[in-house]
Amino acid sequence: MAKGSKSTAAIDTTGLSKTFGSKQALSNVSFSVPYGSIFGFLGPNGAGKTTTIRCLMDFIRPSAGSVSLLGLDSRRDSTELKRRIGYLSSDSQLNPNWTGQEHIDFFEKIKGASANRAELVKRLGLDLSTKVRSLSTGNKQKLAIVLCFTGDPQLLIMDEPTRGLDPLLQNELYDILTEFAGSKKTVFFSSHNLGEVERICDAVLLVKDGRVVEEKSMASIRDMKVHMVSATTSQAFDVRRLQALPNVKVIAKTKTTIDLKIKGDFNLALRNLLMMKLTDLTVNHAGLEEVFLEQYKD
Amino acid sequence: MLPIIKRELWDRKFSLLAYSVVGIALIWLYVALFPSIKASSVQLEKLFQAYPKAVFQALGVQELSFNTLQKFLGVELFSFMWPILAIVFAISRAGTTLAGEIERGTMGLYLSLPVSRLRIFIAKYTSGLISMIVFVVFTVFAILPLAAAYGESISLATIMQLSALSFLFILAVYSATMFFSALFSERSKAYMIMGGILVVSYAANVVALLKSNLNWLHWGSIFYYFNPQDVLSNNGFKLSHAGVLVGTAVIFTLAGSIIFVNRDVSN
Repeated sequence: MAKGSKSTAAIDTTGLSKTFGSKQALSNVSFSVPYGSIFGFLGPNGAGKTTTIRCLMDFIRPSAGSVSLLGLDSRRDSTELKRRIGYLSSDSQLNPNWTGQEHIDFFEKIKGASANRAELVKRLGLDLSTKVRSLSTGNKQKLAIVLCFTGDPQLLIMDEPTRGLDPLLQNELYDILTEFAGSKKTVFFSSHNLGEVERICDAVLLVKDGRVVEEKSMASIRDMKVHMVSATTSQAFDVRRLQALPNVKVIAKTKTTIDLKIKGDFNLALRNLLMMKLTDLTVNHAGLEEVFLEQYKD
Repeated sequence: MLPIIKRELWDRKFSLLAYSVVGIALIWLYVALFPSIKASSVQLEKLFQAYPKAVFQALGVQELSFNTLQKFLGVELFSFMWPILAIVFAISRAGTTLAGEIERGTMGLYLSLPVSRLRIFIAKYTSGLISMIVFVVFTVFAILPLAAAYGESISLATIMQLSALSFLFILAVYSATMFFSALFSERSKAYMIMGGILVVSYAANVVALLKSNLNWLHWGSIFYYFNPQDVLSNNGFKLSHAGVLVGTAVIFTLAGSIIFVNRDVSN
C-alpha cells in the first residue's frame, strides 16, 4: 500500500457516471484495482475506456460517483496524486515544437527526475534530440512512455500504451510494465487487444457501452478468445463433426474450403480438421468487437 | 509554476518579437512622415475642414490638427493602427494559450503534472501578461528615441501616461480573450467572439459620437476608455477610465480562472 493511503486498492471507483449533453458516456462504473497488480481495462472502441481514464486523471469531472487513487480523492488531492501517478494518453499530447529532451527537462523540473530514465530511453531506443513534429507515431509513443515514468510514480495509468509500437517494442514494454509491477507498484491500462491483456495482466475489467460488463480472471479471458479458422482441403469437407462441437460455428463453406469461428479452446476443432487432408490452414484472432459480440450478444 | 511561465515565454518569443518589431516599424514610419505632414499642416487642416464632420467623428478624431507629433501620432497611429496591432496580438496570444492547447491536445501535458489548474491558469496568464508589458514598452517607448532622431520631442510624462493607458487597454482585451479561451475548446471560437465583441464595441462608440441621443452607448465601449489622443495632446490620463479597464481585466480574469478550474478538458 502506498504511503499515506487508507484504501486497500490503488484505484477505487464507485458509481462513476458521466454524461456529455444527452449522451451517457459512463454509467455506474465501479471497480477496484489492487496494489502491485497489472490491471487491464478492456473494451471495444467507444466503450468508455478513455472517458473513465480521464475521470481518474481529473481531466473531466464525473456527473456522479467517486474516484479514489492511492487512497486519495482524485479531485480534492489531484495535485498530490499527479506527483505519484504516471499518465499516458491515448492520443499524443506532446508539444510538436519541443524535442524529446525538452519534454523530459520540463517534466523533471516539475515532477522530479526518474531514477531509471536513461535506461528506459536506451531500452526503447528513443532519440531525444528530434522535435516531436518530426517523430513517427511509434517514436512519439516511446517518448510518452518515458515521460510517464518521470518522478518515479507509484501508479501508472495508461491509455492504449502499445498503440503505434512494433511487436518488438510491444514486448519490451510488456517487460518494463511487469518489472514495474514487480516492485509493488500498480499498472492500470486500457486496451482493445485481448492478446496483450492476456499476456501481462493479473485481472481484467471488461467495459461496453459505458458500463462494466464484468471483471474476469485471466483463465476466463482465455475462454473468451475467438479464433477465425480458414481451411482448404483436397477432398470434400465433412462438416458434421465440426458442427457437433458446441464452440464451433461454420461461417462459410464450399466443397473444399471452410471458414469457422471457434470460441475458447480450439484444440478439438483443429484435431477434427487435421483428420482431413488439408492443403492450407490459417488461424487468426478475432477482433475485440467480434469477441464482445460473441460473448455479450445482449 | 515558474517552469510553465518560462516555457511559455520561450515558446512564444518569436510572435512577441514579430509584433514588437511591426509596432516599432509603424512608429518609425509615422515619425518619419511627420516632418512633411507638419510642413503641410495648414493645407491639410483646410482640406480636412472640407470633409463632412461625421467622417472624423466616426474615426474618433477629436482635433483636426497635425501641427505637433503628439497630435499626429494620437490620430494616425494610436487611434487606429496601434490598437489593431495590439488587439490582434492580445487575442492571438490569449486564444492560443488555453483553447489552442486544448484544441491541439497538448493541455493534457500540463494537466498530467502535479500543478493545480489554478496555477496552470495563473502561469499561462502571467506569461501572456509579461508579453503584453514587453509589447507596450517596445511599441510606446520607442517613440522617444525615434522622435529625437527626427528632431522632435515628446515629454517622458506623456509617454508614461500613454504606455499606462495602452497597457490597460491591451490588458483588458487580453483578459477578456483569456476568459473565452478558458470557456471554449477551439481557439477560433475565442477569436471570433472576442473579435465580434470588439467590432460591436467600436460601433457603439462611433454611434455614441454621431448621435447625441445615443451618447449613453459609449459607456459600454472599451474604445471610449482608451483615448490616446487626449493623453498625447493634453496629458489627459483619466483615473476613472483606467479603473474601468482594470475592472474589466479583473472580472474576466477571475471568471476565466473559475471556468478553467471547473471545466472538463476532453482533449
